[in-house]
Amino acid sequence: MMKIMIVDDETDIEPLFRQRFRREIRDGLIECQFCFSAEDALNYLNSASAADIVLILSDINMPGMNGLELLRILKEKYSHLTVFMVTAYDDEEKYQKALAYGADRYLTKPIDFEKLKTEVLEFSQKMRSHNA
Amino acid sequence: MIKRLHQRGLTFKMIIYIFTSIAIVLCVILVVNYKYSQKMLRKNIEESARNLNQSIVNRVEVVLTSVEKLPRAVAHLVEHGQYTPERLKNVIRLLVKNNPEIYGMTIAFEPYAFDKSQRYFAPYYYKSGDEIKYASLASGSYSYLDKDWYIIPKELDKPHWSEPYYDEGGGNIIMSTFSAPIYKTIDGERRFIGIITADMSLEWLQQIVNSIKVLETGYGFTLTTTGQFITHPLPEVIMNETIFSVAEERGYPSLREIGREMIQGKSGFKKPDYKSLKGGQASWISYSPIKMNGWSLGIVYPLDELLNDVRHLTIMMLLLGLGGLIFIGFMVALISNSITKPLRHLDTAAKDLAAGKFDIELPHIESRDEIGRLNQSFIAMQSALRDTINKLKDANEALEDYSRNLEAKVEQRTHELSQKNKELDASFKNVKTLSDIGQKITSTLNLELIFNTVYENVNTLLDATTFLIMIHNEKEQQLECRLAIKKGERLPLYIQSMNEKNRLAVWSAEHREPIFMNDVAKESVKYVTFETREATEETISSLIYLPLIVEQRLIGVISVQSYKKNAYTQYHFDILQNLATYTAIALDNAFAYEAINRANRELKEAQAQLVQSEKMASLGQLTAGIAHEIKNPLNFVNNFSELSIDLTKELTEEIDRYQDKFEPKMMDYFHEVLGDLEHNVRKINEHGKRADSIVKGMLLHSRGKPGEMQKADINNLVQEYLNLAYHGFRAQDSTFNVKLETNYDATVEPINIVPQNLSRVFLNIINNACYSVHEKKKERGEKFAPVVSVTTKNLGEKVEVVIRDNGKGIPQDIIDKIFNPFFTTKPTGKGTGLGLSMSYDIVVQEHKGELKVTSEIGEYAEFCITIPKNLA
Repeated sequence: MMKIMIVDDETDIEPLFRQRFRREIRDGLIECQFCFSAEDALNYLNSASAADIVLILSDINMPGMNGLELLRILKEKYSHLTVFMVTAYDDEEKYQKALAYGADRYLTKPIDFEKLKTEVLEFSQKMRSHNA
Repeated sequence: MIKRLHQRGLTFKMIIYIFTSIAIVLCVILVVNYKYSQKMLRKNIEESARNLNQSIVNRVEVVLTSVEKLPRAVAHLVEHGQYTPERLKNVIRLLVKNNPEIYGMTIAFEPYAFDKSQRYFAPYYYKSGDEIKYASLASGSYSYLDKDWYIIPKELDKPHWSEPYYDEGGGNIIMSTFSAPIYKTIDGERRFIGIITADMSLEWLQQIVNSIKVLETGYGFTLTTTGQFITHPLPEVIMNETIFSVAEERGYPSLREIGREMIQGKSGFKKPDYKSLKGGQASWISYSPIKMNGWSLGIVYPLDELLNDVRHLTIMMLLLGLGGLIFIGFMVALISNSITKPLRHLDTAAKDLAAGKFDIELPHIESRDEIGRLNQSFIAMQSALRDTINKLKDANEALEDYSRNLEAKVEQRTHELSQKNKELDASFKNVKTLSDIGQKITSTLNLELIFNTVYENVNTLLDATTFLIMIHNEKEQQLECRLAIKKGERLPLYIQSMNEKNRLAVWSAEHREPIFMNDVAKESVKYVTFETREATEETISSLIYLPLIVEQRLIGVISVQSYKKNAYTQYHFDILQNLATYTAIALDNAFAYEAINRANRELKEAQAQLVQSEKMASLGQLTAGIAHEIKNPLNFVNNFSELSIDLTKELTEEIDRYQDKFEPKMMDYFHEVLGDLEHNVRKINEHGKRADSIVKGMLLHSRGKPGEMQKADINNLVQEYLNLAYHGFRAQDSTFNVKLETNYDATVEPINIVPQNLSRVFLNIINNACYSVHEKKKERGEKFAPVVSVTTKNLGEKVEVVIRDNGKGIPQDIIDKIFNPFFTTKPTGKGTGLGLSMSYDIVVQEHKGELKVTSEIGEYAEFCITIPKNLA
């Protein structure tokens, strides 16, 4: 089982992910934790229940702290975490910045869930073989 | 006065001038010295006044502190120790007895606060002569609880100095009371329980302040917090007057200002409009606060006394100066007298000479100075005069003879002059006419009008059988004959190259010199090699060529020609020369006007283009923002709708599995509704994707970062995208067919462009062309042969790409809008309306080129793209 954290200010992202990954969640392949701001995400990561999170999907454009800032902090403080950036802004500047801060993937909205699912499952596979 | 001065002697003038200048200098020195000393003095006094004030204030505060210490000590004792009433009374009595500066002391408590058995406890000890007397303030009708000395420190919660008052014993002693609150900690809470006071006579204060001596009449004074005098050398104002009442009575507003600053606790040094109370002199006042009780100390400095020394010094300098002036006057008189004495002698001698006495004896002066030399010159002059007078007498006789002959000559000259006058008059008339013509010529900017006016006037003034005006075209190196008239008939325009050296016009233009011949056959060899033709009636025999020049610029050539020999005189030449000058100016103005008009037109066009570009740029930024915002909700629309399709399918399958549990009618209903539901959700998904592609287009359109310039071959690029568009269209609709014509200019070399952007332009326009011909084909059927042609051309500085189709064409009212974003004529869903708008931005803004469209409805549409080659 792999625990994923999704950070996005749009609360509708939760039912969307839950439905899209229904089977995987039901089969116990993955578990999702939703945070609706970068600050929430950092708070959650500080709590004890965050220990098993391995992958974070984060939006970039959010009120308060933005996703790139979050990414920078995550890569500094929690370097073991894998971070995928998911954003509507596919401009070169943000992309370069995300790469510089160490993003593991850069996906654009509208989210192509087929692709995302493949990526996530591949990642989970890798984790498992790595742990085994 | 000045006139009188002129008449006076040299001695007097010298004394006046020298005396006045020295007196002025002296006065200036005196005034400056006086002012400067005064300023220095004030600075020094201010400094020492501040020190004096501070030292007095310090002395006063030392006394006040020593008095304050005692009640504070008692308050501390009561707060922290246990005292019986008797013991406490004893302490107070001893303190009064042992401290000479204290007149009396009281300790008073809140009801029952000190002694639980007594409501009021307030013993008071005071000095009376050498004895210490006791009184209880708690007795009888005297209730101390509401007295100022009790209530003020209680309410303020801090020690307090009272306003000064006269001692109640009827004496003339001014007193002030220091009261301090006493606290005690009861049940852990620090509570106010009473007051301790010490009365003090202010005699010592008067002594300290009255001891201040400043010069003769300076003095010190003290004010309370309300401005009342406590000490002052005049006893009648003490406790009776305030500084404000004094200011009011005597009308000193600045004293009021000082009073205000003093009671506010400020310090300063001011010169008021004030006469000191004592002595009545103008004075300076220096003041500073006694911080402990808010009183203020002032010291008065009498101004007259301060300035006495400065005045003494000034008067002494004045006296010395006057003495010096008298001495200088005496010396000047002595010197000038020694100069004027010999001059007076010469004066007398000159008067004698003037009277005709050339033989008088002149005074003999030994000195070799200027006066001596003057005397020698005078002697020389005397002898020279004698000779001259003799010569004059001879000349006078000769003159008389001559004047007799003169009259005859004058008569003759007068006659000649009147002749000349007539000639002048005639030529003046000519000049007038010429200037009128000139005005007429130069008053218009219209070329034709200038030509006509010039011709008409030349024709009336001289023989102009043939008349030419040729304009010099510097760029093409040729003379353009814009006006050629032969025997009144206008000939068509013709051109002579400046290389045709055998032409007289070219010679005149090139050398910028006139040609004037009255026998062409003979004289022309001086300029050109002419083939001599046989003379007929219509051979030019006389001619004038004049270059038209303005500010050293060659404008052209003007010429008159005649069949007659000797047709023109110097007079004609001059007239034509005059007219040529005007003509040149008028033509130059007209050309300049034309150039300005042209520039103005170009400016307007450029402006219109700029406005369009600006509109596009701001729209681009806006769309980028909107597009990103729309992408987020679209993400949900697309994903949720996709999910819903799956869910609907799932539900349908689930229902099918349990169909035996439902009635068939029910099943039909389920299928129908679920079918509709799935269809609707599919539609939502489809339209969401459509919106997404529009948004993508908008983002491409408004991409903020410019692409990278690189060398690319335009011909290849166009060919590549022509193929792409064609095959793309074929893939969508197999019925599509078109004849592609290409005509590439092989001299077009690779130039700097952004290939990925420019290719989008080609793709867009070719796509539109294909669409247009395809639509027309659908309408017209077999007999229509669709053609899309692409042409490239090397224009030197630029490269031109023309994409033309023979499709439906673009109506005129739409051409203006096709570059606007979101404008499309394609059916809904087929076009985003962004293609041409984006193309426009890429060509015009990014590549600084031009994108133009021409069309005839139903016939063709042509897009012409021009890209400059030298893009960085």
